[in-house]
Amino acid sequence: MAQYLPFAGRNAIAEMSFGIQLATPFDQKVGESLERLRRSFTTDEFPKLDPVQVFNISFANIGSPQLPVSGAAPASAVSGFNLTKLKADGSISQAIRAINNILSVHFTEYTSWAEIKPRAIGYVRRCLDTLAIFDRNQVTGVLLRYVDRFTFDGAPENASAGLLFRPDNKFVALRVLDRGYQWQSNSGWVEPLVGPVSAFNQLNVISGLFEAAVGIVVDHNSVCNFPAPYKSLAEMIGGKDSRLSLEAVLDLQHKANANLLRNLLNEKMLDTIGLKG
Amino acid sequence: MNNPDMIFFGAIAPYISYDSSPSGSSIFQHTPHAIYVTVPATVVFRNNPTKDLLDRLTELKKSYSQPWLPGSSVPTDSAFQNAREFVSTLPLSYVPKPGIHVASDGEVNFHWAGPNFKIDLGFYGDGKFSYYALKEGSEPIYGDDIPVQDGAPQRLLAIASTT
Repeated sequence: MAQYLPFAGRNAIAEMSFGIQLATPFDQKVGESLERLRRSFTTDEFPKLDPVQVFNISFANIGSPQLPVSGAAPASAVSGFNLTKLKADGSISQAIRAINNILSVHFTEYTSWAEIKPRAIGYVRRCLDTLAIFDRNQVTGVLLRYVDRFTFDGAPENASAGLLFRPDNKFVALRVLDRGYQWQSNSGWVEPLVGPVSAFNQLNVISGLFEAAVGIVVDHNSVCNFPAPYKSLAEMIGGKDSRLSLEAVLDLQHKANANLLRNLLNEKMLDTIGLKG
Repeated sequence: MNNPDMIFFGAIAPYISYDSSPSGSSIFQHTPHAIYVTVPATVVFRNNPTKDLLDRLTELKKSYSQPWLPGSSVPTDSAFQNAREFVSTLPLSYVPKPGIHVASDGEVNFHWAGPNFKIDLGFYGDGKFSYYALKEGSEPIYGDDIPVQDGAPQRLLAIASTT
């Protein structure tokens, strides 16, 4: 009988991204430090570095004064970068992006949380340290994003979300479960993460044809804005007083994603991707 | 409408109000129609490795349903089934797809090759598989009668992912 399968053998995770949000956008000092940043990574980690210019476009009524965007670099300055490592097929294997006020790390060859988490934190730590970001900025939030993908091993007309999702799940509307393969479900909600800290969750689930195969993509974002910003690398890495470390926050967001999938996917799929029990 | 942010905080009420960031813009932005996260995804849905391999097995099963050489054996249904089950154990997000063929003795064979290595792995339909791997500068590694659900050993996957 036709069934849904993780898109890549036992791997359902097409991408994991982890990002930190800064209080103000990256400035032109980032552009001045790019050579140092390049040297802080090996060519095996990130062989390619591209500077990024960010342009601000403002719309205003004729005669209205133009207000500058707080903390933004001049339009002509380099104020961001892309560090990338490509796969043999030319697609991205892993990347670090610094654009506007977000520094994000992206992995498309996900192995395990135990292996990826320290790598992701290490990359971000190295960027913040090399660029001396905390000398002039603060970290105000963190984002964790998982894009899971499942392909249908059968004819499109036989595809049905009911073959992948639990009928009693609380994240996807019941009416999509027997509506073939063309549908989408989008939702957002705030949920407590720990103590006074909450996370905004965004879940976009899309079903359709992906390169001639029917598939379902489960895109879950967890965005946590801290009650007070982290003002130093030591604070962010180690936590301070009752405030959690970055790693502890990420662990909670990761757990929230696993719990979401446990509620959403049927037992068979949970078993296949190692989330059962 | 002087500040770019005003585009998003116009007269139409956003679906959600969330302003916990003490300064600067929030990590996600409000629009009258949706909320979107400002970190883009990098993944491209360029290929379907699981489905490609299962389609290949279906094609082989159809093509080799009769003996094609004098004295050759046709792979059994369970050999193909074992091969399908094995696909679900492969970490194909970082291990490339193997070539799949059938051998004249009825084996369903998975094959990886690179500039300095080759791996052969086969199923006869008894719920087990065998493999042989050769990498330049290393001793060959091999294994027999490994249950399909155990998947390929880590050292084999490490070689296969070096392409």
